[in-house]
Amino acid sequence: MLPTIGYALREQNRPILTDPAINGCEITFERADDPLRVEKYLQDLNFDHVSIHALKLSVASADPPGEKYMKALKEIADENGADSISDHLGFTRNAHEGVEMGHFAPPPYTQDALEATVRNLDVVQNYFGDRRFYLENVAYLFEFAGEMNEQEFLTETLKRSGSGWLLDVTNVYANSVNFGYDAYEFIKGVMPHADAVQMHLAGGVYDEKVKKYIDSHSHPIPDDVFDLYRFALELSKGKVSAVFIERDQEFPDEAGWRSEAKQVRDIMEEVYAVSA
Amino acid sequence: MPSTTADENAMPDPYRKQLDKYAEALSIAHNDEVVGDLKSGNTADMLKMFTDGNLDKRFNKVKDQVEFVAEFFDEEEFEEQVVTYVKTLPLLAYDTGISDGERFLDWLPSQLELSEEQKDAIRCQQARHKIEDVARENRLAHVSFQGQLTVAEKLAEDFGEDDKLQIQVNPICVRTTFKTTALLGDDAEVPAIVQFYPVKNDIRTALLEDDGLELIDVLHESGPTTLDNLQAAMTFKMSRDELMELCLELVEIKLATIR
Repeated sequence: MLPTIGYALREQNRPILTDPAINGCEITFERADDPLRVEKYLQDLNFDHVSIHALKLSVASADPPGEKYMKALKEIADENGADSISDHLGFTRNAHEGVEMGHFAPPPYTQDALEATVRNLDVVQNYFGDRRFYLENVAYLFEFAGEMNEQEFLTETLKRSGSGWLLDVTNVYANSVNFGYDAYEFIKGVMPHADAVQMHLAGGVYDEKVKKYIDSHSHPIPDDVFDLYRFALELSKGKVSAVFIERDQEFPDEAGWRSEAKQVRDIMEEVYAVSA
Repeated sequence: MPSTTADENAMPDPYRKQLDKYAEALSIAHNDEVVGDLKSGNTADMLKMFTDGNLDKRFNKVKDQVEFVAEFFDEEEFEEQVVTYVKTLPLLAYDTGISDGERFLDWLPSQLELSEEQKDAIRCQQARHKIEDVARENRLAHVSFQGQLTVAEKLAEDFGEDDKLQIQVNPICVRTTFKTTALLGDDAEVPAIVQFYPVKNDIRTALLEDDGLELIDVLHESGPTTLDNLQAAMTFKMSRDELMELCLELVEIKLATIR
C-alpha cells in the first residue's frame, strides 16, 4: 500500500484537499488551537491518514512538555481522528517556568542533551499511547558547539526513543547547502535507525545576500528536493506512512496546489512500482 | 520499589543551566551572551538572523492581538511600545495565541500615562482575551452550548408553558466596566457594566440592566433551570411573565439557550 500524500492544511489549500492525488492531511496544532472554534478543524474532510504537527513540545528542553499542552494536543487529535503526532528535534524554551525563543533551535549535540531528549520523548510517547509520534529534523541557521554531529544525535535519539522519523527532506537539503554536508549520506545514515517514517516537502529560497538557503515554505518544491525525496522513498520502502507538503507563503493558484501534489504522488508511484 | 517522583525527571544542572542561558538570551536577542557557544565556523550573523526573525514574528503577533487597542493611540508611539516590549520582556513558556498580547496590555500602563478612553479600550480587549481563556478551560461546555443554540429559537416558543424546558446561560461570559462613553456611544450612562460572550467564534457584547445582570448571575449559579425555579431564586422581584420576557431576550441575543 502506498503511503498517504497530503498538504499541511491551510485555509488557502482547503478547497483542493479532495483532489484525487491527496488522501492525507497534516494539521498544525497551533492553527487548530482556537478555543472558540465549534466545528472540528477538518470540518467535513476525510483522509486515510491525519497527523497533528506541533511546534512547542520542545523535546530537547530541560523539562518534559507540560501536561496541559499535551492534553490540548490530544484533544485536537481526538477531535479530528488523528493517526499520528509530530514535532521537531529542538528546543523552543529552556524549561517549564522558562521563556520561549519564538522558534525551535537545534540543541547542543551533547550527551546531556541526548539524555534529556530521550527522556522527554518517553514522556511524550507514553502520553499519546497508540498514536505514533514522529520527530522532525529541523532546518537551522546555526549550531551550538557539541560532542557529536546532527546525524549522530538524531540517529541515537531515534534508536533509543523508538520514535518515528519525520524526515523533512527540504530541511536536510537546506542544512546540506548551508553547512556543507552530503544530504544523501545524511539520509542514508539515519534511515536504518527509523522504523517508521513520515516526510515533509517544501520549497524555500536561496538568499544571495546571506548565502543561505532559507526554508521559507514560500516556493515550489525544487528539483533537488524532489531528487532527494525519490532517494529517501527508495531507502524507506514499507516504513513510510505519509508525505506532507508544506506551504506558508506566496500561495499558488488552484492548479499549482494540485500539480505539486500530483508530482509528489507520481514519484511515489514510480518508486513503489519499481520496488514491487 | 520506590515510586517515581518529579525529581527523577530533573536533568543534570549543567544542561539546565546551558539552556537557561541560551533561551533567556535569544528570547530577547542578547546574542552576544551566546555567540561564544556556537560551533566553530558559525557566526554572529547567523544568530542574528534567527533572533531578528523571531522578534519580527513576535512583534507582528502582538500587534495583531492588540490591534483594537492601537486605534486609541498614536500609531508610531504605540508601535514603539510594542518594539520595546518584545525586546525587553521575553515570551513566556507555553505562550498561547493571546497570552503575549495580554501581557503587553498589563505592561503598557507602566510605560505610558493612559487616558480613561485608552483604559476602556484596554479593558475591552482584555475582556475579549478573557473570553478565549475561559473558553479554552471550558471548551466542551462552549461547544455543547453553541450546539444547543441551534434549537433555542424553536424551544423558546414553549418556554414558560412546557414545565420541562430549562433556560441555560452561555457558560463563557466575562464582564467588565467601561468608565467612558468612547466604546458605547454618547447617550450611554457610565460607568456601564458590559457583558462579553461568544456566539460560535464571534465575541459579542451586551449592555444589560440590573435585573438582566442578576438573571445571568443566578443562572451561572444554578445551572440549567426552569422558569419557576428561576423566579424563586431571583431577589429582583418581577412577575413570571416579566421574567419570561427577560429570559427570552437573553435567548434572542444568544446569551442564553433553552433546553
